[in-house]
Amino acid sequence: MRAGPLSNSTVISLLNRCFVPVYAVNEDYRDGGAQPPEEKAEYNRIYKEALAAKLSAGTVHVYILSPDGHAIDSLHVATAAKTERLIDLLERTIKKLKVRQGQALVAPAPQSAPPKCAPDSLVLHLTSRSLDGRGAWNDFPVEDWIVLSQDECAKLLPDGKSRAGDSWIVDEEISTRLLTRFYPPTENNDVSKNRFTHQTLKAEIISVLNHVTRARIEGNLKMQHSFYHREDGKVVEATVVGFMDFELPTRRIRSLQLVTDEATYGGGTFGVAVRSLE
Amino acid sequence: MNQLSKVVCTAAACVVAAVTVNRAENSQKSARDLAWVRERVQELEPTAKERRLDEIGWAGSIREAERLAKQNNRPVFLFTHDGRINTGRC
Repeated sequence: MRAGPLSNSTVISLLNRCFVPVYAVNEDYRDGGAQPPEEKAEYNRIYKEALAAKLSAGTVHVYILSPDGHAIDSLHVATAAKTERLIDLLERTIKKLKVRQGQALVAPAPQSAPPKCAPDSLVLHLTSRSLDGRGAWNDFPVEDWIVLSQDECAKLLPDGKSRAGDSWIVDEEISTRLLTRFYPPTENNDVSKNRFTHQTLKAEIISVLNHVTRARIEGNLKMQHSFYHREDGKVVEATVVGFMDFELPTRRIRSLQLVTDEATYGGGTFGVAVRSLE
Repeated sequence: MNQLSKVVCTAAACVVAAVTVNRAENSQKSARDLAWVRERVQELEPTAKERRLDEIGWAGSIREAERLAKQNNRPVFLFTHDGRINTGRC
């Protein structure tokens, strides 16, 4: 949907001018999910109402609700993902309800935004994309947000080392936090299932200038990561290079950038980039 | 050139080739400087074309969408899905 109709100019325009668009992440609406009970109840009401109205209904679906909140039309995602079919659904709804066009009711905004966190946290944005279209989804890159607390940031830094040429191995807990997300776009995104055969990040101070220390980081990893949720023996292998600027007296990290130099998975190549927010 | 000389020459040529390849690889690795890393970060990040989802004015929740729909006499477009469409991890 994202790479297809939801990137189509006609669909985007129709949604903004004539509808109130909203998406619901199923995981958030299940038992234990992040949404409040009232929101979950509304999701269930719509699903049951669609079923009762003998509309197509399911967990991965497009539903059209009338302005008073009743399910009046729907499409299974396999159909909705065909741009012309989705445009047809939108246009027939507009005609049927005689919708008056206007401005988007909610201002468009980046949907992948940094999570709320303590001001002294280090917020890292990660992008991963297939480089050759093999072994991974390749419609568009995927993103992650990683937040390191001040204590976790301190574990990235050296103890008692402050001269060019000094080196250290990054605390394994922290390198695991970072490297466990070094996999290409796949169906499975449960990082608790990832298993490292090995992983390491080594840092070396290359300069100290005006109280700012710069370290070069090199590392590598080998990690089992299944494409789907069933074990398939697929393995990520990657080498990593990056740079980190920090202040030793305050133990504050000013910037961190890490990228894969070479990375393979499932017979294809991919790239990962991590950067700290300014 | 006798047989022994041929073997020695071939072995020497292999050593020279291996050293050359090794030097080239080391040179390439050392070229991974800060500018290279910054450039690669930019290359890998999502482009505007890949983020067209952000051009849609999404409501924050189903109930917010229903409230806006009622106030403005507009239908709701609800997409339910597994995973995170906003980050692409789905």
